[in-house]
Amino acid sequence: MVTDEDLIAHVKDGSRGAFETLFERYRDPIWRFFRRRTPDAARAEELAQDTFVAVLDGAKRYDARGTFRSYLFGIAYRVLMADRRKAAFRATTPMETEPADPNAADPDAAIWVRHALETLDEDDREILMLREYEQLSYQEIADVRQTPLNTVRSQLFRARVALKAALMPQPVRTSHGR
Amino acid sequence: MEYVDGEGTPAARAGIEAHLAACPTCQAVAAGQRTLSRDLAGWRITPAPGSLKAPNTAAAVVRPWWRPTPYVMAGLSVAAVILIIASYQARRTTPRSVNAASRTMNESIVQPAKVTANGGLPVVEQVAPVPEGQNKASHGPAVIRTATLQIIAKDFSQVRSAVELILDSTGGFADQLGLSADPGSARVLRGTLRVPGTRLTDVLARLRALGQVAQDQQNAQDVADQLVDLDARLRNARATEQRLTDLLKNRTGKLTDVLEVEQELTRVRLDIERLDAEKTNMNRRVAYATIDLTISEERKAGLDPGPLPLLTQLRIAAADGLQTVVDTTVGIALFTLRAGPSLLLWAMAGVTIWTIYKRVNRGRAARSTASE
Repeated sequence: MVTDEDLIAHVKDGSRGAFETLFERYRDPIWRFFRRRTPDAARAEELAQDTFVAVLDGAKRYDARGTFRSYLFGIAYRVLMADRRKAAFRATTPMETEPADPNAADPDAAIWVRHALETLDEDDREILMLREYEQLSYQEIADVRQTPLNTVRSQLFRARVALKAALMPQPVRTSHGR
Repeated sequence: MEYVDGEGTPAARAGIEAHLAACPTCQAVAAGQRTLSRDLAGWRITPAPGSLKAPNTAAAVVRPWWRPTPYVMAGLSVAAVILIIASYQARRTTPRSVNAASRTMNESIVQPAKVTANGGLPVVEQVAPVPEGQNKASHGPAVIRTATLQIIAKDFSQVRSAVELILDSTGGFADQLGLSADPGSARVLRGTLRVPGTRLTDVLARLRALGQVAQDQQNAQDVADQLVDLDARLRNARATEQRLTDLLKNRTGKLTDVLEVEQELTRVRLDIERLDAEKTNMNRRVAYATIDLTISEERKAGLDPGPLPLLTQLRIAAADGLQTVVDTTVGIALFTLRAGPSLLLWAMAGVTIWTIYKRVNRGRAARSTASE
């Protein structure tokens, strides 16, 4: 299987096919990245599109200093932050309005997890989500967030402790959930 | 924690595995972390929509460059309303500036007056009636002209006769004309002249030739609308008079009804007379321009009466200062009352536009950041 780094190198040389392969590979991960952090599905789709457009635009300037995953999610993260700054006046926490997936095995569990994540500090929550949902390594998270590796370790540890505490009273939360 | 996340070098992981096999506490921690990950995995997201397709180029993504929010839409609506009101007010309050040089007297409305032989007031000929259905727009300009002229004359002895000669030759007359010659001061001829509007330019030119011009100012006021209104009201009043007259001729009712009709007829005729007088007066003002003339004697004009006593100068200065303070305060208050609400609304519109501009810029900056 061709690696991401090889594909982006071909994209840099102008290969349309390589870009489409990358797109298919990361279409769902990037969509999920935005969907979990954006209340509006249409907006999430737009931001995902923006991310891939940015990749296409920036392919000529791509410098393989880290993994392509960290590069891609770094772009997605900056697109997300820019959108949040632009829409700051809306001031809604993304997870507040995102509906639970009706096809999920346990919709209540999703709501419960979202509630617990909402209680975390924003930075801690982002790092935990990048680790758990985007499955990024510590180094990739550090690249995406442009923070030291040890900061990622400590924030991730803190986030897990806080999340565990928030998830402890599960029976009460699920019975009195929204 | 790193071990559960799959981090660490193979050697480090092998060491942790060996430790875990013998440590129930660490086994519990690792199990707890795995449980947490399983809990988090419960939040699933539906697959990406089919509309999310690989972009061809950046330009291929057609999206509105600006997504209006309810706040922005409200701001724009307020700005639009302000603009509409402001433009409407501007149209209502803009004075009818009349360029005296570019306008000509409307000969169709008022014929030049004849000056009576004895120098009395001129008799204005009958005004041509405005045809039925003629609107204001079709009514030509009717301009009341005024001029102020101050002249310093070299040969003052000939000034009065020269002015009278000018008036005679142009069909004008003097509303008032007086000479003041206080001992020790310059002689001054002051008067209000009325000259046919069509001859105003000629008269002013000839008056200026009498000496050195110290002040020369002309004003004009278009009263065409008022004349049209007066015409309409007169026509209506005369039609009413005719109907009432016909009623009286063919009277068949009671005596009280006849008396009521006569009273109404009297009232209408009084209205007609009043409107006629108003119209005649306005036509006269249109037909005859007014010149406020002041001619001073040259040799006295430059005399210096000498410095005033210090106390008087201080008193005058204090009075002037006080007056300036009052004028400034009143001016500021008037300006605040007149322009304050409008400025406030414009400021709101400006802030709205500035906010939109900033957000658009911020959005572009964010996209450029993303593209980097």
